[in-house]
Amino acid sequence: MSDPRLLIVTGKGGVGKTTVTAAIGRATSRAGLRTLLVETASPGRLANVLRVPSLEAEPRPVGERLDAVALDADRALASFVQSLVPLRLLSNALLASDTFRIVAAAVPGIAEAAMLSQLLAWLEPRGLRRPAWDRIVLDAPASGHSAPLLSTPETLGGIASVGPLGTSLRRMSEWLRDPARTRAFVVAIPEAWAVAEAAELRAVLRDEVRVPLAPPIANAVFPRRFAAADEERLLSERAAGSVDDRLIAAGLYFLRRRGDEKSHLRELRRATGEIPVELPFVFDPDVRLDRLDPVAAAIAEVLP
Amino acid sequence: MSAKRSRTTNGDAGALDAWLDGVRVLVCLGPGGVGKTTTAASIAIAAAMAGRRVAVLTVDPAARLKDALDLPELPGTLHRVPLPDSARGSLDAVLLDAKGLFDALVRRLAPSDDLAERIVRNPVYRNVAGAFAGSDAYMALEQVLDLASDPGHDLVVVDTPPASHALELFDAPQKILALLQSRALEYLEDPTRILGNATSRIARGVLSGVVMALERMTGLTLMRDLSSLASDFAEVAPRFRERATAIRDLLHAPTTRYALVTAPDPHGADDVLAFTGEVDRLGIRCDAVIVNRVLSLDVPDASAPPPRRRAGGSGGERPGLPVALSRRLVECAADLAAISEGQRRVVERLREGLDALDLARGGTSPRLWLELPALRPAPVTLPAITDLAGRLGAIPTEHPRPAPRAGRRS
Ligand SMILES: Nc1ncnc2c1ncn2[C@@H]1O[C@H](COP(=O)(O)OP(=O)(O)O)[C@@H](O)[C@H]1O
Ligand SMILES: Nc1ncnc2c1ncn2[C@@H]1O[C@H](COP(=O)(O)OP(=O)(O)O)[C@@H](O)[C@H]1O
Ligand SMILES: [Mg+2]
Ligand SMILES: [Mg+2]
Repeated sequence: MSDPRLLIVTGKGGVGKTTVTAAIGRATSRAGLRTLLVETASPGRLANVLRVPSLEAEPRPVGERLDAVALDADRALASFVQSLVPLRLLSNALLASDTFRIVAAAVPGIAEAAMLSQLLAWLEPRGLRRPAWDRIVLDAPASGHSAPLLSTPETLGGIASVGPLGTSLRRMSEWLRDPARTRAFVVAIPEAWAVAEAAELRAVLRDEVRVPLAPPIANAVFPRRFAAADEERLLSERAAGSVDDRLIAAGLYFLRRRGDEKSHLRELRRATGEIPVELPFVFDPDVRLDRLDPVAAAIAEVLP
Repeated sequence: MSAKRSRTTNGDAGALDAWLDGVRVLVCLGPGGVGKTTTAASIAIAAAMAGRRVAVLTVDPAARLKDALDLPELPGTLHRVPLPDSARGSLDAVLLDAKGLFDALVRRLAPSDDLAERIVRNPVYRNVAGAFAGSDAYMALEQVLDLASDPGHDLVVVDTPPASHALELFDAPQKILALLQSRALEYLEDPTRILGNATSRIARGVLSGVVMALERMTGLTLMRDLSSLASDFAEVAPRFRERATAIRDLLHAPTTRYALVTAPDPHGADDVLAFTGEVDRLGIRCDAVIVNRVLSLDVPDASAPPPRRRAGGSGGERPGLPVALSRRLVECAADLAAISEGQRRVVERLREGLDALDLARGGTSPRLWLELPALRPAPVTLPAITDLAGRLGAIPTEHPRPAPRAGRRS
């Protein structure tokens, strides 16, 4: 029985973190690995993609060998306080009080620390119990918030050296830096802003948080359907007026979009020094789990 | 269908001008990443082109947009944006920086400099001012209050900070007021008072233990800093309260209107409806809906005629083209039609959801529905955003039937 692996998915808002998280879950669960998907955004779209009404604070099955859970800062903080204060009545009074909220707001990173210690509880169950999952996929917060979350063990752990929180932050810090157990996937789409953001985020994660990185992920890439020479052909057909102009327009759109995307993919490669993994665009009005097989197949290539 | 149409007006840039008539403050709302900043900038430009004297408050713009608007590094200062000669009005842009502004506000409201310095340097204040949920939003609103009372502008367009919950935005004044008025701060001297008189000594002991554990963990002298902050703040509170009340009044003034910005992504409708529902419960209605980043085929080449949704009738082959090439064209058209169809469904869901909201509230005026095309590359230069403003378009109510998936199944 080996340790589970922690796969962290991050990137700028809207680039497809949740979709990629679901696709990874699809790939690993079908490969026979028990997988837990953890969504940190609230309200998030993972439930929607997985076709379940909502995600709960406890892991629930959403498919064969596939579970999902919502990791919410407030709820994590609540269960952290409950672990410090064994009496329910007391911990509830504390959580309900304005004073506590002010105190909590004054302690930077306390909510993040609580989230990580909850995550650790899924990675390393207490006592001799075996971990329930082989893979845990974290749909991490968008760029601006993921580095603070992942560096919490460093910023807060330095001071929180005592007590249960200190211990779990130390353990979490070991996890986050261990290339044998953890991998972070930074997702971009082939557009200038997303590429720039992804390169920046990777640098922060590598140099400051020091989490092992997977190759850059380029999501929602249009397929290549034409050769460069086809453009001229299409233009001359348009001029001749022999073909339905809407078809020509559609073809030209693909051709040019593909060309534009290629330049951004090249930039992603240049800026990160690594060959990006391209995930295909899903042309379905309804991007949901069972339509994600092509995406799952593409990312399976780089899954630990 | 006709009942639906009666609740909904469609329009274009001209309709937007008319809708903005008499409006002093336009707040752009919506979940993160949908294009609020871009849309706010382009509406501001459209209004300025049409003759309004506009100020746009920009929050967290993409680096290139910041350059494009030529925004000064110094947040909070107005900057004249150069517009094309045909502009009949003017545009000033201002960048929000919540952190610096909060300090400035405390300095402005504090009765003495000493007191202001003490508050601003308090370690707990340093953490709370940035971390307190809604403080960005509160500062945006503070700034709007100043801009709205400045006679140099007759329209203030407000971009809002990323927020997944509407409460984070609109609760800010109330929250800060509640905080200042609540007895919570008094409790800080003796946190165990939270528990009231009836609770046992053991309970108090446990609670003090938790507070001490927090202090040990953070290295802050949490309790002492908090209670000195509380007593310092007490002197600033009355003036803070006046501002917060003025902001609340401005938010509900008849000359303040709200536009919901949204993107037609798959799964997008649910977030947006949840967000709008929260806004609605706060008594705020989005009278305009702007669907941003709609796939529109004339995008890559302005000279190409806009596509109609039906992608090529029956078969694969077209005269004059090799079969393989022809097939690929049909495939492309079908794929693009699928994207459009997905976008149409999201907009339809939104319409239904918003209509349901209105129905629940009783008779309300129809909303203005507008769309903006997805541009490639993204509009981050002044000419591109000006161009985007010119493309504000009506959303057709009656849509063609879904495109036949020619060539897909065969
Ligand atoms: N490979 C893809 N092909 C087509 N659409 C995609 C793809 N990946 C994501 N999307 C769509 O893009 C939008 C944003 O994706 P999402 O996973 O919610 O992003 P994030 O979690 O980063 O905010 C969603 O509407 C989603 O359906
Ligand atoms: N109509 C559009 N076409 C293409 N890209 C757009 C459009 N509107 C916004 N974008 C791009 O999408 C990203 C998010 O837009 P932004 O306005 O910053 O959103 P928000 O303020 O809601 O977070 C930016 O990179 C922006 O350039
Ligand atoms: Mg997400
Ligand atoms: Mg923005």
